[in-house]
Amino acid sequence: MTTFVQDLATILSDRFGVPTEEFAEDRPMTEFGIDSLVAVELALFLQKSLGIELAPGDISAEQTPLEIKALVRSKGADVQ
Amino acid sequence: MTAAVLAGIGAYTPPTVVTNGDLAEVLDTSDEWISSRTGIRQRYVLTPGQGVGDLAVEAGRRALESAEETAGAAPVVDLVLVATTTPDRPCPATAPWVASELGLTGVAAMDVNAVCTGFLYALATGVGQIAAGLSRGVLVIGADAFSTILDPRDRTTRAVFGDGAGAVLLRRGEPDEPGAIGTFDLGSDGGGVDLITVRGGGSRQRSSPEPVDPSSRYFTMQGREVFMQAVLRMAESSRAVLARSGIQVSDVDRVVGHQANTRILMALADQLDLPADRVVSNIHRVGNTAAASIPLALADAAVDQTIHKGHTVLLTAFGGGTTWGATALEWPDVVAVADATRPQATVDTAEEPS
Repeated sequence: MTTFVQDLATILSDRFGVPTEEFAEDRPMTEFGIDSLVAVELALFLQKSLGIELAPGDISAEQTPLEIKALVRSKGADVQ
Repeated sequence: MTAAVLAGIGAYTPPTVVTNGDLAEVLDTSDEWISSRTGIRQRYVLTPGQGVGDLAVEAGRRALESAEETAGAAPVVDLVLVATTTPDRPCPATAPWVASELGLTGVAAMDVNAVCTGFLYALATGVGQIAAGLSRGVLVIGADAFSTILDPRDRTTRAVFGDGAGAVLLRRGEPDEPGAIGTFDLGSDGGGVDLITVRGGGSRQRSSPEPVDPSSRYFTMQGREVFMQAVLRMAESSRAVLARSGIQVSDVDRVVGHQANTRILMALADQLDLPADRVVSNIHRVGNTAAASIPLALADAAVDQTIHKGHTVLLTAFGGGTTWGATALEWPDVVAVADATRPQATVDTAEEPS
């Protein structure tokens, strides 16, 4: 896994209780228990920690971790 | 220079309790679903035939008792403000009736509507009246009965909202004394009119030739966008008012945010880099009481000493409009009078009172 995706797995595990063994970078987050509310909380966390601006609909539970990585990069985040 | 000082605080919730289990009996929901998403376990609702004015009177009476007990003399009141989105009637305002019920016939009285930010808007109005020398004492009441505007079939809004009222008494004082409230950050964005709304019942609908949609009488909220905006606006407003007040965020002892949802309050603390144990919340017991939520949470926390004399307390809210605001104060030595009809408040903070 890439660095950002590894960090995302840690965040989802530590902050939102997603078991790390269920995490997969190419599967929608809904498959490991993320709902729309957690997606908003994740957006708020990423916005603050990465210093980017995200709209409420930018991050959804249907996205994969790789798609989220592409999104935050497109918003100017310098992540690998 | 004259300043407005918080000199009394009281709160009231109606006697009827609706638990998550009660809702699960009539809606497709469960205690686990509601509590994990909102932190709410129960809420209070109006007795049939009661109005929000009745709640406001009870909270106002308690704030007046609090002020009298604190100062040893009955407070002067020449303005009553009621922040509410659910007035007894569309016309007139609820505040004059509330004032008369409190034995204050003759004083100025008006309602303020900024939805869940309403209490802070009314507080700012009262503070301004005193600072300008137009009032000697102001009773500021936040009261709402959202149970009267919810769609009975909507499991989301019915799980979140409850009815209640809270009030504070402002008196004239000095800017540097505990309880003085001087600085506010208030804002609005009408572009968010549809995020938190009751579409029907107003002049726009009444002037329309279109047939009335029966569902337009009910409250609706776009949860995901409201969640994000609430956190970001409250955080931004909090930072602004703290900067203007010369207070470091790390020096805030207690943050009393609008009690919308436990997860919003925790996300707010995260945005502000404040430890979770500084977040005051009574939402598990009362739900989201809209304009009443901040004074209700303050009163409960003051009663059980979660907030006590000398604490630096940050207040912030976000609501329909959209509207937002924040203020901060050093908590004064005040005897809070909370609802006597229910058990002692329990407030979610980890720190023991000192």
